[in-house]
Amino acid sequence: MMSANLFSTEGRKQQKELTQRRAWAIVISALVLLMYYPLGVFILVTRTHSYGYMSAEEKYLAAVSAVRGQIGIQQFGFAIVMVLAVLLALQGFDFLFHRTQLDFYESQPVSRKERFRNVYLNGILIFVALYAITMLVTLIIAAILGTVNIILFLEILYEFVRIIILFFATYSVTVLAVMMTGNLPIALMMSAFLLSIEYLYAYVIQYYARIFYKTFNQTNSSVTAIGSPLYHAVNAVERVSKITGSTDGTITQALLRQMIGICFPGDMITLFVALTVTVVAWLCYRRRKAEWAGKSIVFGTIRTLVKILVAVLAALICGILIYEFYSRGTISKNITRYAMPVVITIASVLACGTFEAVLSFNIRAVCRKIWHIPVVIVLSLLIFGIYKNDVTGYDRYVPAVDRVGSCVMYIDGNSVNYYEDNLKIQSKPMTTIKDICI
Amino acid sequence: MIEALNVEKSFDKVKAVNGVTLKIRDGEVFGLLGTNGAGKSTLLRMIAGILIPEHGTVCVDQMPVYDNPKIKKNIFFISDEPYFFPNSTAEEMMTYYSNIYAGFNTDRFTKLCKGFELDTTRKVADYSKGMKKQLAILIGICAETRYLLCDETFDGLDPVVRQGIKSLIAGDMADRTLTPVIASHNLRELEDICDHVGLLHKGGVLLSESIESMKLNLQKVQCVFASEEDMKQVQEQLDIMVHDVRGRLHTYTIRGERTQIEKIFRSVNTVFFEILALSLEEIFISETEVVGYDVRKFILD
Repeated sequence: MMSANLFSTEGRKQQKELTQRRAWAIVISALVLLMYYPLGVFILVTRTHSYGYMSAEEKYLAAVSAVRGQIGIQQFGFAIVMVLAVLLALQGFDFLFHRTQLDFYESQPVSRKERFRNVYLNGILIFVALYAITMLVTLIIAAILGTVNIILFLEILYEFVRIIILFFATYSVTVLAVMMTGNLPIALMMSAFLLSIEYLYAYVIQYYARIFYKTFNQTNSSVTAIGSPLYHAVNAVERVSKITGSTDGTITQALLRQMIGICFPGDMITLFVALTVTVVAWLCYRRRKAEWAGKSIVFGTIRTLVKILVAVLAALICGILIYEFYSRGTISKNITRYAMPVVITIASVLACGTFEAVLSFNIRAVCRKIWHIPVVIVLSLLIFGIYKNDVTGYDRYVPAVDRVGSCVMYIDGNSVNYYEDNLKIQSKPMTTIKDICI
Repeated sequence: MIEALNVEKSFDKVKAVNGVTLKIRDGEVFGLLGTNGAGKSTLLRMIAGILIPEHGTVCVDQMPVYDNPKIKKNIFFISDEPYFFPNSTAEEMMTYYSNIYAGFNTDRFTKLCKGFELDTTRKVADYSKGMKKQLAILIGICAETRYLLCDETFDGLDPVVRQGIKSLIAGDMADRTLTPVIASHNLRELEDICDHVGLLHKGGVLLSESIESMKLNLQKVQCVFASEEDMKQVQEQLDIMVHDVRGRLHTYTIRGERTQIEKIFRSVNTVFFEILALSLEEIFISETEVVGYDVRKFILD
């Protein structure tokens, strides 16, 4: 953690020195990547050789699909990459949680800017190096097994960049979580919070729309969390799988271009999130004081905000649970709906107390900052009320006849309630709009 | 020169350092004394540039020290709990520090480790607590910085090592004008090494004086008066800090010069009186007692 440009001899020496002290994280990351990628590809490809019922061409396509599934755009390895990003970020900046280490580092003649830059880049460099080596080994194995073609190579190349961007974003978010917290367990929770809060809120909000909006159709409104790297990673896999699922396994240049076209906007947003979060993390680091080591969330305003957001979410989830538990039974849905605000209120109080105790590391702190409780109750009931009373007028919206191109009736989910007398109607697009829009 | 000007620092709602103003001149050994929670470590950590003061300034060589590598290269801070990399050896720590401090004397470090019988190839984690402290001090001395900040550094060292370290510090002071700042509870330790002492209490400075003048201005007198009138007459003329009575024997800690005090006692009838030498510990207890920190209270309660 000394001063020097990364690309100078001194800079390289410093990175090497830093890397030497992170041996266990490197070993774990390398093992995980090697097990999942090269070993995974080897097992999956060799397995296709045993498919006796397939022709040679079918076997080849199955082998290529196996490689694509493991290291191409449709891979689920992004989850592993995200875990490694969290691990490397937490390990790199762990010194911020310990007074003895802070005394050690902060007393040395190294500026805070250089220390942040060196540690920050070190984690990224470790991953990029390990991932590049892993991909190279995987490609060599795939080539030896005769499954690499130019299209697949290009797809893997693009996926390589995507994975680096995803790592960069997850790593930055975790670094930000570290900067905002004073100990490891809370940093881990904060990291999970930052990575998933938008996704979770989007999901819960959509659930409320599904419960209360009679015209809400879930199939046309999948959850969107525009600022979440996790969302873009999952969304890309889902959407790409849809278009490749309809082929025989052959990926043409045009199809690859289409796949990249699907992923590209999300990847750019993820990159933007990564860059923005890095800047915010740096600003937090600048404001962070050494004496905050050991605390929970070190910035008072963020602590309050996080607590309220989590408590509101927990209260809304409890509302959903009570609806789900009883709405399918003999109890009337209306009763359940009226029970929901009571449950939400109780859950708000409990969630507020619990999170305060967790953040204070003290079970007796449940009643501290009592003013948070009414805020959480009001916010939770407000969200509930907006959906329960259809404040936005979702169900009241009727499009003009000339604006409707086609329509379809779904009889699954909540639409069952709306079309109670038409349970036997199958989903079927209707284009004779005038007959429907009377 | 190290200067702290009206420095304040709080942890949550507790004021750890409250309006401290201190000057530490180059080439003198400065002892930071204080009660538990007086703010010694906090002040030292601000001088080392680890903590940033909320109010006031901490300057070393007339430059603010916080986040200032140019100034920090002249300072080495030895924490009360020194940190070493996991699984590292003394040799590896030496390599690390030699990259950080340009003036790190590796030959001297190797030689000193040999002298203090520290195996440089052994893992530091396997060292005893005292050995770890020795290693931290040797690293600090071999970094050859102008200022050496020691936080409770001598605690846990055996007398032979302690004496050896003191000799090294004295040698460096003579050779290269090292300025050590030593925070400790162990007053006897500081007495024979420090030139100047800063006494902290509840975050503020009670006094900052050279040990010599401190001893010259504070006297301990034991006396048996011939009568009550004599006692009253003496007490009216003295600046008494502490007064203890056991039977007829009065023990005073008095602020003032020895000759002046002697003259006052001689002016009345006494059965017996004697001026005793004050140790630094007694000075510390007297000064803190004046501001309400009475160690005896804890014992009696």
